[in-house]
Amino acid sequence: MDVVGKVSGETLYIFLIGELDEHSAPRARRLADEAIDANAGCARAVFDLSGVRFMDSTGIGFLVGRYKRLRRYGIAAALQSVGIAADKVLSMSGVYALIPKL
Amino acid sequence: MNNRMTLELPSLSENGPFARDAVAAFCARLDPTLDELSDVKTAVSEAVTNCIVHAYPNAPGTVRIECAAGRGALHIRVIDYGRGIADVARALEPFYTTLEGEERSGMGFTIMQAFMTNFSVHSEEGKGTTVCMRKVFARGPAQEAPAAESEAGGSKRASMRQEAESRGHGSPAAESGAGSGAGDEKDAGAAGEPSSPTQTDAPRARAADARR
Repeated sequence: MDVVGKVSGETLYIFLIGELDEHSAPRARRLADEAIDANAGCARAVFDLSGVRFMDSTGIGFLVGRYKRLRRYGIAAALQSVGIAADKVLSMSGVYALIPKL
Repeated sequence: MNNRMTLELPSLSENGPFARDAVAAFCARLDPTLDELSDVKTAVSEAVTNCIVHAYPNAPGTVRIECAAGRGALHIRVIDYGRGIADVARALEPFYTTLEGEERSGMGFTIMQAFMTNFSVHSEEGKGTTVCMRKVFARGPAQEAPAAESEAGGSKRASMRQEAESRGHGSPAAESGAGSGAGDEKDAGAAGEPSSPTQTDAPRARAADARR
């Protein structure tokens, strides 16, 4: 899985590309955290899931973990372009209460 | 047409994608919808991840995946010979995890239950865990042989499938072995005919279903 951070205005967009599972999660966490740390002055972060081809419950832990990191910086978090399969997993977890969909 | 597959892999995280893709490829002949295929892949991924993370926390061990396809349904057993689960009922609770500090959601079993038509788990400490899952596909087999259709069993097969669908997801009556008929279970083979304690554990899974 690749994670790409792009800043537009005061928003950090974090694009997740590929399959998010037990195998890919460590790298995804590291890349996302690097993007967050490098852009700690942003007002909000948006996770873009349009490139996610597969995601299991690892994605819930990943997003909650990043949410906690963002909160330490006072950055609001949101999600966009969540596919049907990922949405099914995320809906069950209640993660949208922390990280709303745009 | 019935079909079977057995896959044995070491519990390495890099084998997770292969395991779920192999099961997805195996059930392609059952003509699953994209959503159904996604459900199966996700459930297998959760089961295999549990083996990697929980069953063999210190060194890789063997993960055995048994699949059987027949009569519009896929039966899967994911077996490990690892640490086992001390309290299965507790492990089935949503958000319960023994690894709080590792960004674990504790939703693995909940997702397996929700995404598959039937689900049960048997575990013994020090001996391992077996997860049994069944997915009924709405469209049934993709390439049923014309000869088979013309057989007397053809219409029976269709009606049985319809019956399974009408029970809906998670219905205890559709539990593997409880409502599909003896013939169906024979066809289901290794994965669908658990002579193992999984069947006796079915009420536990049903109780978990009721909590959802």
